[in-house]
Amino acid sequence: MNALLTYGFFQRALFAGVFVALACALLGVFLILRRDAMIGHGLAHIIFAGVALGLLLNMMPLIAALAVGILAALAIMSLKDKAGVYGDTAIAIMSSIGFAVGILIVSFSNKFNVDLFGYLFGDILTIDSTEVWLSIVLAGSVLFVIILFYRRFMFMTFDRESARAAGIKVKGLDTLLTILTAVTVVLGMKVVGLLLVSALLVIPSAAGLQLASNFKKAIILASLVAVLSVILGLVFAFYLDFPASGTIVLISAVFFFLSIVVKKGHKIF
Amino acid sequence: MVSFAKNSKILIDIDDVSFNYGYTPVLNRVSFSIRSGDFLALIGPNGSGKTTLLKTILGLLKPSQGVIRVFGSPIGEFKNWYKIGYVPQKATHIDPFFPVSVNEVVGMGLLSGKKNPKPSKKNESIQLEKALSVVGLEDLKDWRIGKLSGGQQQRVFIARAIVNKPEILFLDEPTTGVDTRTHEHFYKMLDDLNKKEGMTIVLVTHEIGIINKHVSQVACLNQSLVYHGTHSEFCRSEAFKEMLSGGHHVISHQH
Repeated sequence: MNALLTYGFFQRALFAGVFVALACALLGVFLILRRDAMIGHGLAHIIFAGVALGLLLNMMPLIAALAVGILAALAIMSLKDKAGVYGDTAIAIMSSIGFAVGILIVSFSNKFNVDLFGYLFGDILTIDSTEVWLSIVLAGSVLFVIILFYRRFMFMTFDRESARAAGIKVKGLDTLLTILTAVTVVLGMKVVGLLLVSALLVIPSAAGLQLASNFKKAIILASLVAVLSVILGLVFAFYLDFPASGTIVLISAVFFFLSIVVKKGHKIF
Repeated sequence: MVSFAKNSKILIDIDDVSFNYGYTPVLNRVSFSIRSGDFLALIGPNGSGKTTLLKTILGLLKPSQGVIRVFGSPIGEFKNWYKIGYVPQKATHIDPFFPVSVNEVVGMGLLSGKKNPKPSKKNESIQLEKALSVVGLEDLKDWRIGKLSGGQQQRVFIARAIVNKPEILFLDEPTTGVDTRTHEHFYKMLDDLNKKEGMTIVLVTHEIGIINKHVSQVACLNQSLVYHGTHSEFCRSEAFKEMLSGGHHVISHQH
């Protein structure tokens, strides 16, 4: 393990992965309790169009994906609030449009199929130092905002009407949460890939929620599972020559099923 | 209509308020005021618009006509939400698996509006403890709320509503699903908040029986305002007789 830490590529993967995992876990607890667990999956499909656009225009795919992701988050909120479309329907419509646009862009130029493969399936061990810093700054910002609005998010997730009656601007916070999700999906795509990013958002948090008796414990347990999944996933992937993305997600799934066993057998928390 | 304690200040002023759900009228030109120190029961049959009126007062619904002033400000401009506590109707129907402790639920009440100076962490925990002791649940502060009985959960929501020491507390059908023995304890607690702490209380209920014993004012709603006055005069009013003939069960109490 010590030898492993001397490799620059491994250090970069570890730093970026841990920060992104923390952002995913914190956000995931709120998304699951709001019955919005699939929003990450939907946004990932839309962000695919952003990545394709970035590659087509020869700009950094992370930046294009970020712009498309945030716009998509706003569009989903707008469909829900202004057009009166149900939340899951809005996600389904926008994700289908996003993926369709992505396919069209890819068909215009088939020169970047290999690059796109990395974004779809994750490629954390090839992450460069610019991407590491960008991931750390963005994930740090997501963490900061969630911690700043932690109680407000908790209040409106638990009892939306009372939160409104307490003067909390729940619609603004809904939009903020969706934008944070879009940013986190963009960050997660390098770690586990767009196709598996919703797993990182949902599975560690679902494991934490199985065992927690209060919100703080749910957040702490979810973060612990997410971080451990990334660290163990990277180590196993390196030594067993497995793809890191699949390994990370499967380890988080093991934690999830363990949490069910622990909950059934003995409530430790 | 009857005379009130005119020297107490008006906290809520409902002025010619109407509300429609689509084309269905729910409230029709309702006007009355809630004054400081009142313990008011907002009563009426099912579908009479009680909860709708409460939601317009709290800014959750926008009236189609009329104005609501809260502490002198039109509701749209009101900012000092810490002056208002609210216990929703659905409080007894929470998700039992939601991982939130009693202390965390009560702590949510500290978010109501901006109160300066913001309490320190130490003062915050004192406020939480005090609110929980008022409702007699200080020993259960670390319990997950889903593990409590319906009556205990309702008390947690009251603790959340009073943690910021509001001037007025609104409760929407607070004893729905709560057993009769807990009712008495519950209304005694509201009595204490009203008389000892000076908190104005507005209780939305269809239980006419409780109004004689506990409340000082009655507002009877049936889309429009049928009656507003003291409880003793309400008992002699036509509105009361009409409610009785509507099959409502009344338990009469004397002070």
